[in-house]
Amino acid sequence: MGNYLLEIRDIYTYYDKIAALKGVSLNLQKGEIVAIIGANGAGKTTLINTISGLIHPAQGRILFENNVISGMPAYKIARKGIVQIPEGRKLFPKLTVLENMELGAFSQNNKKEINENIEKMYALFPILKQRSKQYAGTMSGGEQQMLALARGLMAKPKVLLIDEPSMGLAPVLVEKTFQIIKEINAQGIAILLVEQNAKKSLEIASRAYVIETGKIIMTDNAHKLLENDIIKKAYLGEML
Amino acid sequence: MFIQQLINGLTLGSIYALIALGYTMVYGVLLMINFAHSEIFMIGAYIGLWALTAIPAFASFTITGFIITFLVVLLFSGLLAVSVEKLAYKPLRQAPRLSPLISAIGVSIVLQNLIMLFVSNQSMPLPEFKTTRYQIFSAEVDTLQIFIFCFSIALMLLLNLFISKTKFGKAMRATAHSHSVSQLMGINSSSMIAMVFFIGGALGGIAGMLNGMYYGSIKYNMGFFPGIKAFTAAVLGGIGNVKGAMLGGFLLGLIETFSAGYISSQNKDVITFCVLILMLVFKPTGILGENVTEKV
Repeated sequence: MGNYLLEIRDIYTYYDKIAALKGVSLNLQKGEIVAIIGANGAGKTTLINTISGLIHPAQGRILFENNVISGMPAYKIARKGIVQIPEGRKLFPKLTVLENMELGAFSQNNKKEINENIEKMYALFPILKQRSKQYAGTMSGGEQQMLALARGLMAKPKVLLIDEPSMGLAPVLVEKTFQIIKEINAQGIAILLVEQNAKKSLEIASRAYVIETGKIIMTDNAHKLLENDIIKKAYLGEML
Repeated sequence: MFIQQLINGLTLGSIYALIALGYTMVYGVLLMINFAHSEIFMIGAYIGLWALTAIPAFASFTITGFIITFLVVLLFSGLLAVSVEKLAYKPLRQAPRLSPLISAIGVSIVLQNLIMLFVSNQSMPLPEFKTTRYQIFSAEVDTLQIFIFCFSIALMLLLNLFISKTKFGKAMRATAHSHSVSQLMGINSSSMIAMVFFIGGALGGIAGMLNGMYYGSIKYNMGFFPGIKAFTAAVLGGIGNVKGAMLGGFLLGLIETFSAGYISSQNKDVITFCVLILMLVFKPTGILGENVTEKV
């Protein structure tokens, strides 16, 4: 086995006695965008939460930079640089935009660097500068997604786990969100992207895994999956 | 009479507000009412008495002796509250919400009985403090009342500063909103919960000490009424809301002394709780409580 940044080996995750993941294996290399596509309830969010340590796998191991991280508490995994941008943003609505970003940098201790990063985020998302003193909960869905991304980046992640970034956004904002994800990746951050919008995510990903009822049923280069008839029919909504 | 009741109300309100903060902060992070909090208040007074008598004679009743006493109360009440959380609530984190509540009532009874059995079942006098009385119009205020008020206000300002400006204060608010999301930020929610219990316990213990000084004696069951009233104050201000607890505490103190002064001192508690009921009927979230809905 090689030098993967993140490697998931045959994990099983249960909710009570019901298996949500049944032997999932996948890997992520430095600098990659890897997409996970699948229908509602296929186990995508469970997979992301298992990697983050919010749920612990019953079997199997997760390795980050060749060290086992499965079984660690979620806050320790986050401090290692595996940062999740959760489904539905999950901002702190009663905290200001700036405070949300500061909390993203909770694991960072260099004050000067934190302030520089905040300025970088303001440059990347100008709207956040205008709204910095406003409660996060009062912003629109698109603005909240920008803040969720900024908050995640404040942690200086090595891996970003992004869960359904396009959920509930207008088409023009979906476009913009994917554009920004590509830009983030260009800075050298590896991304595991979970999306219902299979077409969009396959367009920016280098590889993808298809998950169905807790199992990986297919994996290939993203552009090949875009051409795959089964994928076209099941996930891209194209008529054959 | 008006000014006199105002002075008395603010003194009493300071104590209620300090206790109410412990209830509201714990509710904020765990959504539970810590019924053992009134016992931390009571034991805080006992720790204070113990510290006052343990401090060598040359230092007692000096400013230094005073500061040491309060630091001891702060530290030990805080640690006691943290231990209660670790032993009685933390193991029940995944249990139904009623379980820690019952556990809290159990802890309350145990702590009261421990003091009753091993310290005293009688009320114990606190050393008398020399106070000076000042005349304001027709009313009187003494140095102890001024001290209680100013000290409480100072503690509340410090707490406010801590919660709004510091890294751990922000992390505490994040934890109150969601344990799992704050963990994704690298925040250890268990230590945030412990921190909340420490701060709440420390303030509660200090309130107990102040209460003991104000009334001149302490007893194992002294926590019951102030505890219930401070809980009422927290609900009145909006449970979970720190500023609400402060406001609620002062308001309750004032309502209590004014109804005692102008209506009936026998029925002051009845009137106080009627106010609570009216509040719950017309604005169930309390004065400052509000529901911010999350956009998805």
